[in-house]
Amino acid sequence: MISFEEVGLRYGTQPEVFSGVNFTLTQGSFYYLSGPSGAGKTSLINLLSLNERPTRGFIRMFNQVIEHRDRNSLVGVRRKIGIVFQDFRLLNHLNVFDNVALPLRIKRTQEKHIQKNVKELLDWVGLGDKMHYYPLTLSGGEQQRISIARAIVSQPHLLLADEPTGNLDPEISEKLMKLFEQLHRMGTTIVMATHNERIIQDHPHPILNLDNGILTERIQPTLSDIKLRKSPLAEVSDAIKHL
Amino acid sequence: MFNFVQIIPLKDKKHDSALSMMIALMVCTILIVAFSALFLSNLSAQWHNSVTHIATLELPEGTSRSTISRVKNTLGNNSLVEDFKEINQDDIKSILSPWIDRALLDTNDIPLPTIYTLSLKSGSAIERDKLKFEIKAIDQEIKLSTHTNWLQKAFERATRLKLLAWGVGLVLSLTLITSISLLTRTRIHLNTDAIRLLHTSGATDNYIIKQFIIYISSLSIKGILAGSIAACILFLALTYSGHDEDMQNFTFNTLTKGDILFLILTPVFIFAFIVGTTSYTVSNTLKRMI
Repeated sequence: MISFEEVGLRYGTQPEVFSGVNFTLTQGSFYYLSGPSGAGKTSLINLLSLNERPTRGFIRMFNQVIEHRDRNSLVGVRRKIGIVFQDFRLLNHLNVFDNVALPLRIKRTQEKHIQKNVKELLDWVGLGDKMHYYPLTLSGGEQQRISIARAIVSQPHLLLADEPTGNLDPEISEKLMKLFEQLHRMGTTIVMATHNERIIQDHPHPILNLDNGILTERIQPTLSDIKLRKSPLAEVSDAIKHL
Repeated sequence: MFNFVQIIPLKDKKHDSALSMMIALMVCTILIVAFSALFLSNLSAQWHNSVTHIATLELPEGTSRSTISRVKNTLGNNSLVEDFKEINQDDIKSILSPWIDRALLDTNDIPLPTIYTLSLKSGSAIERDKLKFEIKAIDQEIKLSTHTNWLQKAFERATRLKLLAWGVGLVLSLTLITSISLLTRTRIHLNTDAIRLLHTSGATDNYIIKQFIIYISSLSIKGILAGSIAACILFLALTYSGHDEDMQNFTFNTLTKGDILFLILTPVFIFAFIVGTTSYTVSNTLKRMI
């Protein structure tokens, strides 16, 4: 579904945030993206969400090579992706309903379908009775649930979550993880950036670990649906080391 | 059903009012400048058409009857002269009254010239010179004034003023466009997160541009309407102040239907320019931003 080949990213003339990143994500799986602060997790999420373009390498998403497409033709790819931001990124001048309805309005979905789907989803995330509230009047956990509802309302193929539990207490974080597990069971591919080891242990899934710009794999016992492979250059490098 | 939701939080009551006010002032000024330029242009054209067909013949006091008769014959036989009419002495006194006391003029102690107004057909400068030559041949003291010299100067000055007015209008239009462009850029940078969110959620550039256009349009329409109404009030106030009926008729008769249509369409052009500028600015900034 998604593959990165020799992908590198740098901002301006600064050193590369990461280089030679290679991995393939299969459909319907769940991956953690971990690593210390500043390791490039958010940059990788930005690449996956097409908010950034790689400075080198190839990214293939949903059978389309991203580098070969112009900005407007990537709209279809973007609509298959939902994102949960660490800082929620809610629009405070819109109420809960309108925040969640945003991706559907962008897709010009019929208003009667928006009304039905958004209400159902808000009931599902436990905010059905607060759809006319404004985000700033709600708690952090409730705001995070709005953010999640917005990310999944258009039934994305890929759900990206950047430190979704970073601002939440353990109890709400656990509820959030149960929600993600439920979405995963429904067939949504999930990539969740986190450095919360407890969550990773309690909800074991394969891990992509970013450190010093290098991506490595840590497969946990229960799931192994990630195909991480080394770059040809790295394979040559390994071969040289074994000589 | 129009169910537009302003997703990017562009509204800002304080600054929005200032922007509408600025647009209103600019539109009002542009309309007044355009009206002035058109008015001046038509006025000078009217002068040109009316005065080039008029000449004045001044015979000094004491000119003999035979000389006057020869002058009349010459005027009657000249192909350039369509008609001529002697101004009666009372009218001459009225013309001179601002400079010479009327009571003194009525004593007949002041020598008054005999003046003829001539209606001329369209003709060349050579034909005008020929007429002058024929009159001078009768008596060197007779003055034939065709107004062409001072008219030419007045016409040149009017043209310069007209160009200046169009220049001012152009500068104001460019200032308005630059202001809209700067405002749009500022709003884009203030709402970068919301724009990125829209973009990530699958919004096309056109969708984001539409958000800006609807916001700017609502402010522009308010400003343009207010500016146009203010310009109309000023125009009517200037025309009708002083209860000068001639001025009222003159103002409305001076503008052609085309001019009035141009003045009515000017706010529409300004609106189109504002929408075009917004669209171009957002499109360009988005390409650089995302």
